[in-house]
Amino acid sequence: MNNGLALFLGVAGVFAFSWGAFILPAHWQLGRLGQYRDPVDETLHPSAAPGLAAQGGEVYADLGCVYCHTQQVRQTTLTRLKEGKRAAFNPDFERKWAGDANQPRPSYARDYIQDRRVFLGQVRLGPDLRNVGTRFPDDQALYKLLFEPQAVTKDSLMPPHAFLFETRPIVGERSAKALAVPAPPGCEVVPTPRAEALAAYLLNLKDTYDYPEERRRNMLPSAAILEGDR
Amino acid sequence: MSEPFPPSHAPIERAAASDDSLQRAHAQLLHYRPQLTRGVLLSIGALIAVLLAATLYFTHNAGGFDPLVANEDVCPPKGGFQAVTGPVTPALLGKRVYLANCIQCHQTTGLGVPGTFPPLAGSDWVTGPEERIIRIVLQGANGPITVAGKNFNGVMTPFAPVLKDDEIANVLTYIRSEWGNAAPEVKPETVTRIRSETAGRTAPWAPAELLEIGK
Ligand code: HEC
Ligand code: HEC
Repeated sequence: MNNGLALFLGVAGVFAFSWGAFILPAHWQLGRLGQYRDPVDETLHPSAAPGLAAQGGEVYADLGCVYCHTQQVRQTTLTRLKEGKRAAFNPDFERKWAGDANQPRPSYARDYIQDRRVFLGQVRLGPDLRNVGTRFPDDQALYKLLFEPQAVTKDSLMPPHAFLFETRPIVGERSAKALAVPAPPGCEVVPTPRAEALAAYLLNLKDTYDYPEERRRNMLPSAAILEGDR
Repeated sequence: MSEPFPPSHAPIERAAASDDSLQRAHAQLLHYRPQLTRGVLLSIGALIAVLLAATLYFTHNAGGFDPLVANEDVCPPKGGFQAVTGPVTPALLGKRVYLANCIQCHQTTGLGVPGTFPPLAGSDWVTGPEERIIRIVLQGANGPITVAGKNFNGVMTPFAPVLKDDEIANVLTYIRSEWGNAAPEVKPETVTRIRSETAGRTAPWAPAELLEIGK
């Protein structure tokens, strides 16, 4: 090792460069975002996912749901012809992906600060899941979909996740968690702990709290966009 | 002794370098180190400093990047957004109470449900004497009532057991200042006073009875 110092400096330089280019600016721009304290009821938002839901996040990562589903509601305004006139519309809002139907909103950077891993995703083969918790009434509906998506949506592209469930003989009474799906006589289909965690995670996915400061900055009358001729 | 081969073949047969010369060459190489002179170190340092400064500059002026903006159509005003952290007004606090307790019947719009639940927007009751509406919220109301020219006859649940005095004051302040209503705020002290005056009462008020109060 003749050039130890040069090697060390070279390696340090390469790491410092990528750190300076990717980590430092991002941290500078977003690192100060903290939980928002509601001035009225003093609650903190966003709150951390409860234990089971946090475990479900790991299952979500494990099963690669992120390859087909995004978790980011965008506020993009497109225009289209409607009755001969150009009208503005927001595709994500129109698909009811934006949480509260009365006050739809995009995903803000702050929404993700409590996530251990951020599953933004890139491909939308399936619907955006950032607010999926507002669309499903309970875990049973989710189990049904995960067990066999094709039974919910005909020819669905989503792969069945039947391996998250267990078919077992009914001992004594039927389990309260048993799925309403066809099972062999005397048997029932029940979710495994992984399925339960995943469902808890999905039901917890909802950004319903609207941060006043963000709302104020992101509001833009659609007329202004039409004027801007996009 | 004669040479076994003609001299012209000598370079092929004999090693060009002797052991000695090889060792000398190695020794030289072993001693050779590119010198990290001060000049080289300084220029590497300067390069890093320039890169760092450039990153900081770019980050700082990232096209008006704002971590709170998600809408790609939003163009931040010159000088950036001004943060507003408005004071917490009684009306704002009352909005919370309203959204938690009253919207099932009177709706978020304050318009009620035609024929069933009377509106609060544009209601003379809301902007009228505070003694009446404090009583309505405390013990509830039951009986024919005319609000904004329409007749209603329903039951409003009492809130005396659920809401505290300041919550009632705040929610009334809210409905008196929202949806175009403009009436002075209701003080928690007034609610406390009326609550003690009506302490024994559990029956809901009949609107006709209330009209006698605060005339
Ligand atoms: C091969 C791509 C693919 C993968 C992988 C995938 N999905 Fe899907 N998903 C889809 C498609 C396509 C739909 C829409 C059709 C449907 O409803 O079945 C969908 C629909 C859904 C819905 C219903 C959304 C709604 O609003 O109706 C949920 C919930 C869901 N997926 C969850 C998951 C979870 C959890 C995983 C990981 C275990 C996963 N998906 C993996 C493609 C996929
Ligand atoms: C269960 C449904 C219900 C709820 C909840 C309710 N109200 Fe009412 N409210 C009524 C009905 C019905 C009347 C008319 C009563 C009558 O017919 O005598 C009324 C009347 C009123 C009136 C007088 C009439 C008017 O429209 O101006 C006020 C003021 C009022 N309510 C305020 C409130 C406030 C404030 C709350 C929340 C703390 C509330 N109400 C919650 C049903 C409700």
